[in-house]
Amino acid sequence: MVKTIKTRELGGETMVKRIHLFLLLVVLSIGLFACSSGEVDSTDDTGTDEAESVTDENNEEATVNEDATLKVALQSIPPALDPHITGSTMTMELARPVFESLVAFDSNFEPQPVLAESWDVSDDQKTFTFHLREGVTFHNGKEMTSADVVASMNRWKELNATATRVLGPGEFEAVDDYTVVLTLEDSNFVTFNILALPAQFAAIMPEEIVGGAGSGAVEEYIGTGPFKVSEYVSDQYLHLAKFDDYQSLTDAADGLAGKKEALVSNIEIDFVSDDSTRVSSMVTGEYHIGRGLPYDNFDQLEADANVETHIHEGGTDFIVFNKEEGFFSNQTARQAILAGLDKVALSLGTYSDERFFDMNHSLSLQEQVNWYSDAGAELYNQNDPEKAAQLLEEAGYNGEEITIIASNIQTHHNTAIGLQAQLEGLGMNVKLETYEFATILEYRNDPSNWDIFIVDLATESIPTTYLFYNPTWAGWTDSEEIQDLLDGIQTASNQEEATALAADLQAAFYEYVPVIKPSNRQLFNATNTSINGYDFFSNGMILWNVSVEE
Amino acid sequence: MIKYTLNRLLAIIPVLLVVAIVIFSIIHLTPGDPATVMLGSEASPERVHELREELGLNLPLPQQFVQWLTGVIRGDLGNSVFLQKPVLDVFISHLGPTFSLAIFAQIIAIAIAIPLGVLAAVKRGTFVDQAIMSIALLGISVPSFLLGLFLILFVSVHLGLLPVAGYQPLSAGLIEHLKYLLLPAFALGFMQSAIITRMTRSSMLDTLTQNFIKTARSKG
Repeated sequence: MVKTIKTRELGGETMVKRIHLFLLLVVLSIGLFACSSGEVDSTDDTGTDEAESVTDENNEEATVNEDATLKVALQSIPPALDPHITGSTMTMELARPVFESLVAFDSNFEPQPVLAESWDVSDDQKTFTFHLREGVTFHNGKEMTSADVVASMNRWKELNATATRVLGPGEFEAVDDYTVVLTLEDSNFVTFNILALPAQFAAIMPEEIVGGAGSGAVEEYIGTGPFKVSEYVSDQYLHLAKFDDYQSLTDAADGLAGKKEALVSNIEIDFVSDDSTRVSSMVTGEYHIGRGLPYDNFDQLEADANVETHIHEGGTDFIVFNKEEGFFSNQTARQAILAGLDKVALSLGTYSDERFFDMNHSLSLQEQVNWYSDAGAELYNQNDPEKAAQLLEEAGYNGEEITIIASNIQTHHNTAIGLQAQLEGLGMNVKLETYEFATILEYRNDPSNWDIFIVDLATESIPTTYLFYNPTWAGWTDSEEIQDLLDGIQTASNQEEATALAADLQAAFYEYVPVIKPSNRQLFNATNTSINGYDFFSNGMILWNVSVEE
Repeated sequence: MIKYTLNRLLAIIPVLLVVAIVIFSIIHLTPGDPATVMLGSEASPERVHELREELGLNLPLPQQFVQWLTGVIRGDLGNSVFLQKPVLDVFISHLGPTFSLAIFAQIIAIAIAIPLGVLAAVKRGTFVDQAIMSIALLGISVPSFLLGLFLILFVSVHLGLLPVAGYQPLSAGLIEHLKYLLLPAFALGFMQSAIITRMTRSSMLDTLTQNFIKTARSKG
């Protein structure tokens, strides 16, 4: 007994040292682990050349695995799978391989036939006759006819706010089994651009399915696309399977048009909202495609030999002025802010690195050949505080408080903070109020609440449909010139006329300044090197023509 | 005993009612409603109004509450606006994985804690005891979400042994099921095990110093 106690006492004396040693070991092993992760990265770096040459040699031998399952990690849960009811880009992305429309955009944003084979347009541009492709079957085996097209298109036209607004009154009607006619009250040059809208798109579904759905989501997901829905658990995953009877077009694949082939037998899309989990899953190769990855992990994934990184255009965080009341109802005041902003600094503050934004003055992308314009480019990023001060004086600024409201969404918030700092630099008195997104959606409808708010909008496929031109939308644009130009484009008789008017519209945009465009935000996605044919168009990935190597 | 149980159960009712009223009011205190959020930036005011009517959000608040409450009493928890499914179905479909995870985490916790606790008590005051107690301290101090991230980094990314994320039901096979549960269960169980280890150690120590143990010892 005594002996035991002694041993314990002896143990007690050396215990402190031992515990210290133990803790030191724990800390050291954590440190070693951290270092060894770094070392792995660096060996990956040096090993890249080797790995690439091996892949090059193997490229000819690399065979496509047609039974493969393509696995995708999506960053958030889509609100629905029915593309008629929501403008969510997540919904658009998931619905793309399942549903098709009469027309769709090619990579230059020009409408091309998909389920329509051809069309005739009356001289007054009020009557549009679509000749449908024959022998196209739905996923349930039924052949697509005009009845399905009429039911789907009329439901879509009613539910899509842009279509309702731009196309005005008018309905689709069946002429025979393979011909439908759209008759509008007013002539409309941009009809096909509206019918090809990429988000909240005009999906064709069987008549009996859309008939019973009303304005709620359809209960069955039956389309004509290269993949059919095999299982959908709305808060967890979407599983798609190859549709064997798919009738592909034969023209080369181009944007959302042309040939679509299901090169894998299944697609599994998981909704993985945690950023670090998506990044880790790309490193381990659990997913072939990772969507909406955090900018902070770009370098890490770029250094990984098994991962390819992709940067895609992803819309703009706009600065919207209240033109109904307050200081910015004065056009000169808005011009002052446009003159004074340093948009590179502002965008750096929002996106952290110049790789993640693109300084583009136009409201269209360069690929949008029919709409891209240089009009107003000289006013885009003036960064001229003296001119701003002079214009502010002209506008009669006398130190009144300017209220910016922004949601807590990171890019909104970052833009608002940068803007506040720059406006204060111009000698203005600025208050920033940050709210939750739902609150902003409500607050912004009352002009007495704010002077500036931040909103992110996708790049529109035609520049006339930007919400900030709409006189009833928050911000309340009230410009006769802009309205005339919008009407002019709508009633143009040919593309040259419309293109010229779009340039005038952009010039008017820089004169009237309904909103300020800082830069184009870039999205960051990654793919595993074992897949081929990955493409991304208008805010969403394209999952057909993607193959997985064995 | 039965009377006591019944009394306690009855006492829950007013508590639940108050909680329900408070939560219901908090949701409606903040501006913005589900209809605006669901339809997003581009929705027209008419569509928002339409949806509000469809969802019953235009009714007076007390009426909305009573409607919900009478539903709940009848076992109807309503429909999830976001998932477009009955809330009860969603609730039930999530019970399985929750139970699996909870049970597995408990098993891990006990499997780690009891032997370690006993060992620490038997080797009281030695290096082994102190080491075990240090690990237990670490277990209590490190939050499970952080441990989870470290485990993902080390076991999944670094060693590539287990999946980073996902879930497979029991019907996919026990091994497959456990493969996905092991890391989250360990992250949850480790913290539990730290507490149980300390409890086991102290109750073991109590017992070890009791007279009957001493008597047994002295008898050889």
